[in-house]
Amino acid sequence: MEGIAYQNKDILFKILGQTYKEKSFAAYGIDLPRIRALLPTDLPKISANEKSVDNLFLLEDGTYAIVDYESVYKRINKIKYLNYIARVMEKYYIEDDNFNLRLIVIYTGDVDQAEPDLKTACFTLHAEQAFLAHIDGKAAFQEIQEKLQAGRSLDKDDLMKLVILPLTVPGTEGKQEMLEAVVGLAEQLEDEEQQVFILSGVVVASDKFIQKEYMEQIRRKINMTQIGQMYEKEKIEYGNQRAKEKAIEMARAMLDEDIDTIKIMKITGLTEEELLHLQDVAVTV
Amino acid sequence: MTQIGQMYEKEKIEYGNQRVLEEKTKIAKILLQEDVDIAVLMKATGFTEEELLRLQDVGITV
Repeated sequence: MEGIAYQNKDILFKILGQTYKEKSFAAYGIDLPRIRALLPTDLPKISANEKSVDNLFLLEDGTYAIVDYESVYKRINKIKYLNYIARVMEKYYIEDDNFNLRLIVIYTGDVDQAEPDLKTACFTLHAEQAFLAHIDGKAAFQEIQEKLQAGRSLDKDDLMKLVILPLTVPGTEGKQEMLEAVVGLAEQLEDEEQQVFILSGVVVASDKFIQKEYMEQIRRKINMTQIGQMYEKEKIEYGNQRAKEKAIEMARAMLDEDIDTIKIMKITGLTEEELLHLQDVAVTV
Repeated sequence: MTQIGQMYEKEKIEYGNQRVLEEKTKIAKILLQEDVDIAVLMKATGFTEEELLRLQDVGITV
């Protein structure tokens, strides 16, 4: 599609990029250094028929971490991970002398065991696995809810846990119910930054099963926050830029047709300088 | 890109396309009022003759 921005233009990516910082995966039972940055996941040579990495992080110790969410265990996914690894290396290994990479696979509540390794004579692939089935989602939700009701504020681990709570429940229906409960809880938060982190994080994490209509509802909730205004601003700037480009294109065609410069200025709203520049470019080309 | 990300992007692109169409229409209407030759107008705006004639009609009725 024309004009589709790559993922680091994704508004939610921006939100998550800011808010994932300094958070850790302790809430998922994975011992990783805290996150330094959320990296773009548009890796080189990703073909149109292949899904991109769910998340790619730079950790505080300089290690890269690929994070992928799975709702089923498939032996064949190891080929997919190897492809991810190759592409991350193509992008970062050359420029980073101390390159190190970890592969994290987070299984939703539908999976409670999986084979983490692939051993061959020439390489060993090791995935660090988290099984959300091992988290009691309902108990975790209740604990966080009680914390809020007692007037206590949520910490980073609570936020990370809330984002993945829908994935701890097996089955699509159960996930949807938990998702709605988490969104309801997020709406009670006074801290808008935390609210947006949960809303955007939960839809990104639940992307594979979320109902489109419900996602639209969440999107409207996000739109009512400052982040939503940021998105509106970006949209308007983009619209203005497209309109200006069109005006320039039309001015160029009018110049070609020897329409009077003052008339073109009046019609397109372009300045004399901009038109002279267009004329110069046309002459040099 | 996530589904919601695509939703945001789609909305942004649709808005961009709408702004382009508005700009094109605005300029075409002025050029029509200025009695610029229709062939020149077609080239400058990218509108077809039929679309320009329709714009002219709307201009007259408005």
